[in-house]
Amino acid sequence: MVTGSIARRWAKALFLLAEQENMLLAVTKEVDRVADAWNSSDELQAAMSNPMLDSKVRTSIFMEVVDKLAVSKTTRNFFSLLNEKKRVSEISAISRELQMLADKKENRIRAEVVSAAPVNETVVASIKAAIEASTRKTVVVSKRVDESLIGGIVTRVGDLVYDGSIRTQLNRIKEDMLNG
Amino acid sequence: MKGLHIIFLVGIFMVIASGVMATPEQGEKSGAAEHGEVVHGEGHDAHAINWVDMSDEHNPPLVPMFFNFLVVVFAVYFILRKGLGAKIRNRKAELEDALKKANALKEEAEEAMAVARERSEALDVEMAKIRTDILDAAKAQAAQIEKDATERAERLKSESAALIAQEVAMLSASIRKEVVEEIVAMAEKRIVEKISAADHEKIAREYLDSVMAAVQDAK
Repeated sequence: MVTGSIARRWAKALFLLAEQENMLLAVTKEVDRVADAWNSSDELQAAMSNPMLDSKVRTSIFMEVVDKLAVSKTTRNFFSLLNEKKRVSEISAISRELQMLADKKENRIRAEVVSAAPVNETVVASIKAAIEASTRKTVVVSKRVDESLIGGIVTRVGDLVYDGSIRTQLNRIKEDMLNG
Repeated sequence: MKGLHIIFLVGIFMVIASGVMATPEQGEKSGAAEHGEVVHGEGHDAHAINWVDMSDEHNPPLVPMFFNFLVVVFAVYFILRKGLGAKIRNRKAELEDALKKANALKEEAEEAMAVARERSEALDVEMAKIRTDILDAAKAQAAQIEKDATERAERLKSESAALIAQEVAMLSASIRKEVVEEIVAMAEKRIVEKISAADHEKIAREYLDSVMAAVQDAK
Protein backbone atom coordinates (compact mmCIF):
# COMPACT_ATOMS: atom_id res chain seq x y z
CA MET A 1 0.00 0.00 0.00
CA VAL A 2 2.82 2.39 0.93
CA THR A 3 4.83 1.25 -2.11
CA GLY A 4 1.82 1.83 -4.38
CA SER A 5 1.26 5.24 -2.92
CA ILE A 6 4.91 6.22 -3.39
CA ALA A 7 4.94 4.93 -6.99
CA ARG A 8 1.71 6.81 -7.70
CA ARG A 9 3.20 10.08 -6.47
CA TRP A 10 6.37 9.66 -8.57
CA ALA A 11 4.33 8.65 -11.63
CA LYS A 12 1.99 11.58 -11.18
CA ALA A 13 4.94 14.00 -10.99
CA LEU A 14 6.54 12.55 -14.13
CA PHE A 15 3.19 12.48 -15.90
CA LEU A 16 2.62 16.20 -15.22
CA LEU A 17 6.16 17.06 -16.32
CA ALA A 18 5.92 15.03 -19.52
CA GLU A 19 2.50 16.46 -20.29
CA GLN A 20 3.85 19.97 -19.75
CA GLU A 21 6.72 19.27 -22.13
CA ASN A 22 4.34 17.52 -24.53
CA MET A 23 6.39 14.32 -24.30
CA LEU A 24 3.92 12.03 -22.58
CA LEU A 25 3.96 9.25 -25.16
CA ALA A 26 7.76 9.23 -25.49
CA VAL A 27 8.40 9.41 -21.76
CA THR A 28 5.88 6.63 -21.09
CA LYS A 29 7.61 4.36 -23.58
CA GLU A 30 11.05 5.20 -22.21
CA VAL A 31 10.01 4.47 -18.68
CA ASP A 32 8.48 1.24 -19.87
CA ARG A 33 11.76 0.28 -21.54
CA VAL A 34 13.76 1.01 -18.40
CA ALA A 35 11.26 -0.96 -16.31
CA ASP A 36 11.60 -3.92 -18.68
CA ALA A 37 15.39 -3.72 -18.40
CA TRP A 38 15.10 -3.57 -14.60
CA ASN A 39 12.70 -6.52 -14.42
CA SER A 40 14.73 -8.66 -16.80
CA SER A 41 18.06 -8.10 -15.09
CA ASP A 42 18.56 -9.77 -11.74
CA GLU A 43 22.19 -8.60 -11.77
CA LEU A 44 21.12 -4.97 -12.03
CA GLN A 45 18.67 -5.37 -9.15
CA ALA A 46 21.32 -7.15 -7.06
CA ALA A 47 23.88 -4.45 -7.75
CA MET A 48 21.49 -1.65 -6.86
CA SER A 49 20.52 -3.30 -3.59
CA ASN A 50 24.09 -4.28 -2.64
CA PRO A 51 25.18 -2.22 0.39
CA MET A 52 28.82 -3.23 -0.18
CA LEU A 53 28.88 -1.14 -3.33
CA ASP A 54 29.55 2.54 -3.06
CA SER A 55 26.57 4.72 -3.86
CA LYS A 56 28.56 6.47 -6.62
CA VAL A 57 29.31 3.12 -8.22
CA ARG A 58 25.67 2.11 -8.03
CA THR A 59 24.62 5.43 -9.50
CA SER A 60 27.06 5.08 -12.34
CA ILE A 61 25.85 1.52 -13.10
CA PHE A 62 22.22 2.54 -13.09
CA MET A 63 22.70 5.69 -15.15
CA GLU A 64 24.80 3.75 -17.64
CA VAL A 65 21.89 1.37 -18.18
CA VAL A 66 19.49 4.31 -18.53
CA ASP A 67 21.79 6.04 -21.01
CA LYS A 68 22.14 2.86 -23.08
CA LEU A 69 18.38 2.82 -23.52
CA ALA A 70 18.66 6.25 -25.22
CA VAL A 71 16.06 8.07 -23.16
CA SER A 72 15.17 11.72 -23.33
CA LYS A 73 16.67 14.31 -21.01
CA THR A 74 13.45 14.52 -19.01
CA THR A 75 13.41 10.77 -18.45
CA ARG A 76 17.10 10.69 -17.60
CA ASN A 77 16.70 13.45 -15.04
CA PHE A 78 13.75 11.60 -13.55
CA PHE A 79 15.75 8.40 -13.12
CA SER A 80 18.68 10.33 -11.76
CA LEU A 81 16.45 11.82 -9.09
CA LEU A 82 14.84 8.45 -8.44
CA ASN A 83 18.29 6.95 -7.87
CA GLU A 84 19.31 9.85 -5.68
CA LYS A 85 16.22 9.31 -3.51
CA LYS A 86 16.91 5.55 -3.40
CA ARG A 87 13.60 4.63 -5.05
CA VAL A 88 14.95 2.71 -8.01
CA SER A 89 13.23 -0.46 -6.81
CA GLU A 90 9.89 1.26 -7.50
CA ILE A 91 10.53 1.43 -11.27
CA SER A 92 8.00 -1.27 -12.23
CA ALA A 93 5.22 0.21 -10.15
CA ILE A 94 5.97 3.71 -11.40
CA SER A 95 5.88 2.47 -14.98
CA ARG A 96 2.47 0.86 -14.43
CA GLU A 97 1.08 3.95 -12.76
CA LEU A 98 2.42 6.19 -15.48
CA GLN A 99 0.89 3.91 -18.12
CA MET A 100 -2.47 4.09 -16.36
CA LEU A 101 -2.32 7.88 -16.17
CA ALA A 102 -1.35 8.14 -19.82
CA ASP A 103 -4.07 5.68 -20.87
CA LYS A 104 -6.62 7.60 -18.91
CA LYS A 105 -5.60 10.85 -20.51
CA GLU A 106 -5.61 9.33 -24.00
CA ASN A 107 -8.93 7.54 -23.37
CA ARG A 108 -7.19 4.27 -23.86
CA ILE A 109 -7.53 0.81 -22.32
CA ARG A 110 -5.35 -2.25 -22.52
CA ALA A 111 -6.49 -5.73 -23.38
CA GLU A 112 -4.57 -8.95 -23.15
CA VAL A 113 -5.48 -11.80 -25.45
CA VAL A 114 -4.18 -15.15 -24.24
CA SER A 115 -4.62 -18.18 -26.46
CA ALA A 116 -3.60 -21.83 -26.46
CA ALA A 117 -2.27 -21.52 -30.01
CA PRO A 118 -1.24 -18.49 -32.07
CA VAL A 119 -4.34 -16.57 -33.08
CA ASN A 120 -5.18 -15.17 -36.49
CA GLU A 121 -4.70 -11.38 -36.60
CA THR A 122 -8.19 -11.02 -37.99
CA VAL A 123 -9.61 -12.56 -34.83
CA VAL A 124 -7.52 -10.22 -32.65
CA ALA A 125 -8.60 -7.23 -34.66
CA SER A 126 -12.23 -8.33 -34.35
CA ILE A 127 -11.86 -8.70 -30.59
CA LYS A 128 -10.24 -5.26 -30.41
CA ALA A 129 -13.01 -3.72 -32.48
CA ALA A 130 -15.69 -5.34 -30.36
CA ILE A 131 -14.13 -4.07 -27.14
CA GLU A 132 -13.62 -0.59 -28.59
CA ALA A 133 -17.24 -0.54 -29.65
CA SER A 134 -18.29 -1.67 -26.22
CA THR A 135 -16.10 0.70 -24.19
CA ARG A 136 -15.80 3.60 -26.70
CA LYS A 137 -12.10 3.72 -25.91
CA THR A 138 -8.98 2.99 -27.87
CA VAL A 139 -7.84 -0.53 -27.11
CA VAL A 140 -4.19 -1.51 -27.00
CA VAL A 141 -4.00 -5.28 -27.42
CA SER A 142 -1.17 -7.48 -26.26
CA LYS A 143 -1.04 -11.15 -27.24
CA ARG A 144 0.33 -14.12 -25.39
CA VAL A 145 0.30 -17.89 -25.96
CA ASP A 146 -0.41 -20.18 -23.02
CA GLU A 147 -0.62 -23.85 -23.93
CA SER A 148 -2.11 -24.77 -20.57
CA LEU A 149 -5.40 -23.35 -21.87
CA ILE A 150 -5.54 -26.45 -24.15
CA GLY A 151 -7.72 -24.56 -26.59
CA GLY A 152 -9.67 -21.32 -26.93
CA ILE A 153 -8.94 -17.72 -25.97
CA VAL A 154 -9.05 -15.60 -22.79
CA THR A 155 -9.29 -11.82 -23.09
CA ARG A 156 -8.71 -9.58 -20.11
CA VAL A 157 -9.75 -5.92 -20.18
CA GLY A 158 -9.04 -4.41 -16.82
CA ASP A 159 -11.20 -6.37 -14.38
CA LEU A 160 -13.33 -7.80 -17.18
CA VAL A 161 -12.48 -11.30 -18.44
CA TYR A 162 -13.91 -13.06 -21.51
CA ASP A 163 -12.92 -16.65 -20.91
CA GLY A 164 -13.42 -19.12 -23.77
CA SER A 165 -10.65 -21.55 -22.94
CA ILE A 166 -11.06 -25.33 -22.88
CA ARG A 167 -9.18 -25.35 -19.57
CA THR A 168 -11.94 -23.29 -17.94
CA GLN A 169 -14.65 -25.41 -19.51
CA LEU A 170 -13.01 -28.59 -18.23
CA ASN A 171 -12.69 -27.05 -14.78
CA ARG A 172 -16.36 -26.11 -14.88
CA ILE A 173 -17.34 -29.65 -15.90
CA LYS A 174 -15.15 -31.01 -13.13
CA GLU A 175 -16.81 -28.76 -10.54
CA ASP A 176 -20.27 -29.73 -11.79
CA MET A 177 -19.43 -33.42 -11.56
CA LEU A 178 -17.98 -33.04 -8.07
CA ASN A 179 -20.92 -31.02 -6.78
CA GLY A 180 -23.58 -32.93 -8.65
CA MET B 1 -26.69 -19.26 120.23
CA LYS B 2 -29.22 -21.96 119.80
CA GLY B 3 -26.57 -24.59 120.50
CA LEU B 4 -25.71 -22.81 123.74
CA HIS B 5 -29.29 -22.95 124.82
CA ILE B 6 -29.34 -26.62 124.13
CA ILE B 7 -26.15 -27.16 126.17
CA PHE B 8 -27.58 -25.11 128.99
CA LEU B 9 -30.82 -27.08 129.04
CA VAL B 10 -28.94 -30.35 128.88
CA GLY B 11 -26.91 -29.22 131.94
CA ILE B 12 -30.06 -28.35 133.91
CA PHE B 13 -31.62 -31.65 132.93
CA MET B 14 -28.57 -33.59 134.12
CA VAL B 15 -28.54 -31.76 137.45
CA ILE B 16 -32.26 -32.34 138.06
CA ALA B 17 -32.02 -35.90 136.86
CA SER B 18 -29.20 -36.64 139.33
CA GLY B 19 -31.36 -35.19 142.13
CA VAL B 20 -34.46 -37.12 141.06
CA MET B 21 -32.56 -40.36 140.71
CA ALA B 22 -31.15 -39.93 144.23
CA THR B 23 -34.58 -39.41 145.82
CA PRO B 24 -36.19 -42.90 145.24
CA GLU B 25 -33.11 -44.67 146.64
CA GLN B 26 -33.44 -42.67 149.78
CA GLY B 27 -37.21 -43.42 149.91
CA GLU B 28 -36.61 -47.16 149.56
CA LYS B 29 -34.03 -46.97 152.35
CA SER B 30 -36.50 -45.13 154.52
CA GLY B 31 -39.23 -47.70 153.83
CA ALA B 32 -36.99 -50.60 154.80
CA ALA B 33 -36.12 -48.92 158.06
CA GLU B 34 -39.73 -48.47 158.84
CA HIS B 35 -40.32 -52.23 158.35
CA GLY B 36 -37.58 -53.08 160.83
CA GLU B 37 -35.18 -54.33 158.29
CA VAL B 38 -31.56 -53.66 158.71
CA VAL B 39 -30.44 -51.48 155.99
CA HIS B 40 -26.92 -51.99 154.96
CA GLY B 41 -25.60 -49.01 153.30
CA GLU B 42 -22.16 -48.29 152.15
CA GLY B 43 -21.43 -46.47 155.22
CA HIS B 44 -23.68 -43.56 154.26
CA ASP B 45 -26.83 -42.44 155.83
CA ALA B 46 -29.82 -41.40 153.81
CA HIS B 47 -29.98 -37.66 153.56
CA ALA B 48 -31.72 -34.86 151.68
CA ILE B 49 -30.40 -32.90 148.72
CA ASN B 50 -27.43 -30.86 149.62
CA TRP B 51 -28.05 -27.47 148.23
CA VAL B 52 -25.32 -25.30 149.61
CA ASP B 53 -23.34 -27.24 152.26
CA MET B 54 -19.77 -27.14 151.17
CA SER B 55 -18.51 -29.21 154.08
CA ASP B 56 -20.16 -32.46 153.07
CA GLU B 57 -17.57 -34.08 150.95
CA HIS B 58 -19.67 -37.16 150.09
CA ASN B 59 -22.63 -35.18 148.97
CA PRO B 60 -21.49 -32.01 147.20
CA PRO B 61 -23.88 -29.12 147.19
CA LEU B 62 -26.05 -28.73 144.18
CA VAL B 63 -26.13 -24.93 143.88
CA PRO B 64 -22.35 -24.47 143.71
CA MET B 65 -22.20 -27.34 141.30
CA PHE B 66 -24.81 -25.72 139.21
CA PHE B 67 -22.95 -22.47 139.50
CA ASN B 68 -19.74 -24.21 138.46
CA PHE B 69 -21.54 -25.74 135.64
CA LEU B 70 -22.83 -22.34 134.54
CA VAL B 71 -19.29 -20.99 134.73
CA VAL B 72 -18.02 -23.85 132.62
CA VAL B 73 -20.86 -23.38 130.16
CA PHE B 74 -20.21 -19.67 130.07
CA ALA B 75 -16.45 -20.22 129.60
CA VAL B 76 -17.05 -22.74 126.88
CA TYR B 77 -19.52 -20.40 125.27
CA PHE B 78 -17.10 -17.46 125.61
CA ILE B 79 -14.24 -19.44 124.08
CA LEU B 80 -16.15 -21.09 121.30
CA ARG B 81 -18.81 -18.53 120.52
CA LYS B 82 -16.99 -16.92 117.59
CA GLY B 83 -15.24 -19.85 115.99
CA LEU B 84 -17.94 -22.39 116.57
CA GLY B 85 -20.74 -20.07 115.42
CA ALA B 86 -18.89 -19.12 112.33
CA LYS B 87 -17.97 -22.71 111.71
CA ILE B 88 -21.51 -23.83 112.23
CA ARG B 89 -22.78 -21.09 109.98
CA ASN B 90 -20.17 -21.91 107.37
CA ARG B 91 -20.93 -25.54 107.62
CA LYS B 92 -24.62 -24.79 107.35
CA ALA B 93 -23.98 -22.57 104.32
CA GLU B 94 -21.80 -25.27 102.81
CA LEU B 95 -24.41 -27.86 103.40
CA GLU B 96 -27.06 -25.58 101.94
CA ASP B 97 -24.84 -24.89 98.91
CA ALA B 98 -24.08 -28.54 98.52
CA LEU B 99 -27.76 -29.26 98.79
CA LYS B 100 -28.56 -26.61 96.21
CA LYS B 101 -25.88 -27.93 93.93
CA ALA B 102 -27.08 -31.43 94.43
CA ASN B 103 -30.60 -30.28 93.63
CA ALA B 104 -29.35 -28.38 90.59
CA LEU B 105 -27.38 -31.39 89.44
CA LYS B 106 -30.38 -33.55 90.02
CA GLU B 107 -32.52 -31.18 87.96
CA GLU B 108 -29.90 -31.05 85.24
CA ALA B 109 -29.63 -34.78 85.26
CA GLU B 110 -33.39 -35.06 85.04
CA GLU B 111 -33.46 -32.56 82.18
CA ALA B 112 -30.63 -34.36 80.43
CA MET B 113 -32.46 -37.58 81.00
CA ALA B 114 -35.62 -36.08 79.52
CA VAL B 115 -33.69 -34.70 76.55
CA ALA B 116 -31.92 -38.00 76.07
CA ARG B 117 -35.25 -39.78 76.22
CA GLU B 118 -36.74 -37.39 73.70
CA ARG B 119 -33.72 -37.71 71.47
CA SER B 120 -33.81 -41.42 71.79
CA GLU B 121 -37.43 -41.40 70.76
CA ALA B 122 -36.68 -38.86 67.98
CA LEU B 123 -33.63 -40.87 66.95
CA ASP B 124 -35.74 -43.85 66.05
CA VAL B 125 -37.96 -41.66 63.90
CA GLU B 126 -34.94 -39.93 62.41
CA MET B 127 -33.22 -43.23 61.70
CA ALA B 128 -36.32 -44.48 59.98
CA LYS B 129 -36.46 -41.26 57.95
CA ILE B 130 -32.77 -41.49 57.09
CA ARG B 131 -33.23 -45.07 56.04
CA THR B 132 -36.15 -44.07 53.85
CA ASP B 133 -34.22 -41.12 52.43
CA ILE B 134 -31.19 -43.28 51.68
CA LEU B 135 -33.36 -45.84 49.95
CA ASP B 136 -35.12 -43.12 47.96
CA ALA B 137 -31.79 -41.50 47.04
CA ALA B 138 -30.35 -44.85 46.03
CA LYS B 139 -33.39 -45.55 43.87
CA ALA B 140 -33.19 -42.07 42.32
CA GLN B 141 -29.47 -42.47 41.71
CA ALA B 142 -29.98 -45.86 40.15
CA ALA B 143 -32.67 -44.41 37.92
CA GLN B 144 -30.42 -41.47 37.01
CA ILE B 145 -27.50 -43.81 36.25
CA GLU B 146 -29.74 -45.90 34.08
CA LYS B 147 -31.06 -42.79 32.34
CA ASP B 148 -27.54 -41.41 31.82
CA ALA B 149 -26.31 -44.71 30.52
CA THR B 150 -29.26 -44.93 28.14
CA GLU B 151 -28.69 -41.37 26.95
CA ARG B 152 -24.98 -41.98 26.55
CA ALA B 153 -25.62 -45.15 24.64
CA GLU B 154 -28.07 -43.30 22.40
CA ARG B 155 -25.62 -40.49 21.95
CA LEU B 156 -22.78 -42.86 21.15
CA LYS B 157 -25.06 -44.68 18.74
CA SER B 158 -26.03 -41.39 17.11
CA GLU B 159 -22.43 -40.18 17.01
CA SER B 160 -21.28 -43.48 15.60
CA ALA B 161 -23.97 -43.30 12.94
CA ALA B 162 -23.01 -39.71 12.14
CA LEU B 163 -19.34 -40.68 12.06
CA ILE B 164 -20.04 -43.59 9.78
CA ALA B 165 -22.16 -41.38 7.56
CA GLN B 166 -19.41 -38.77 7.54
CA GLU B 167 -16.77 -41.35 6.72
CA VAL B 168 -18.96 -42.77 3.99
CA ALA B 169 -19.59 -39.28 2.63
CA MET B 170 -15.88 -38.45 2.76
CA LEU B 171 -14.97 -41.72 1.13
CA SER B 172 -17.65 -41.22 -1.47
CA ALA B 173 -16.45 -37.66 -2.12
CA SER B 174 -12.87 -38.86 -2.29
CA ILE B 175 -13.77 -41.60 -4.76
CA ARG B 176 -15.91 -39.21 -6.75
CA LYS B 177 -13.08 -36.67 -6.81
CA GLU B 178 -10.60 -39.30 -7.93
CA VAL B 179 -12.96 -40.55 -10.63
CA VAL B 180 -13.81 -37.03 -11.82
CA GLU B 181 -10.16 -35.98 -11.85
CA GLU B 182 -9.31 -39.13 -13.77
CA ILE B 183 -12.10 -38.50 -16.26
CA VAL B 184 -11.12 -34.84 -16.70
CA ALA B 185 -7.45 -35.78 -17.06
CA MET B 186 -8.36 -38.38 -19.65
CA ALA B 187 -10.56 -35.88 -21.47
CA GLU B 188 -7.81 -33.25 -21.38
CA LYS B 189 -5.28 -35.74 -22.68
CA ARG B 190 -7.66 -36.80 -25.43
CA ILE B 191 -8.37 -33.19 -26.41
CA VAL B 192 -4.68 -32.28 -26.42
CA GLU B 193 -3.98 -35.30 -28.60
CA LYS B 194 -6.82 -34.72 -30.99
CA ILE B 195 -7.04 -30.93 -31.23
CA SER B 196 -5.80 -29.50 -34.53
CA ALA B 197 -5.07 -26.07 -35.96
CA ALA B 198 -8.45 -26.14 -37.63
CA ASP B 199 -10.06 -26.86 -34.25
CA HIS B 200 -8.21 -23.90 -32.74
CA GLU B 201 -9.41 -21.72 -35.58
CA LYS B 202 -12.98 -22.93 -35.13
CA ILE B 203 -12.85 -22.38 -31.39
CA ALA B 204 -11.41 -18.88 -31.95
CA ARG B 205 -14.28 -18.02 -34.29
CA GLU B 206 -16.83 -19.34 -31.81
CA TYR B 207 -15.11 -17.33 -29.10
CA LEU B 208 -15.26 -14.22 -31.23
CA ASP B 209 -18.98 -14.78 -31.75
CA SER B 210 -19.50 -15.16 -28.02
CA VAL B 211 -17.49 -11.99 -27.32
CA MET B 212 -19.52 -10.11 -29.89
CA ALA B 213 -22.72 -11.39 -28.30
CA ALA B 214 -21.49 -10.41 -24.85
CA VAL B 215 -20.58 -6.94 -26.08
CA GLN B 216 -23.96 -6.57 -27.72
CA ASP B 217 -25.64 -7.66 -24.46
CA ALA B 218 -23.54 -5.12 -22.57
CA LYS B 219 -24.74 -2.34 -24.86
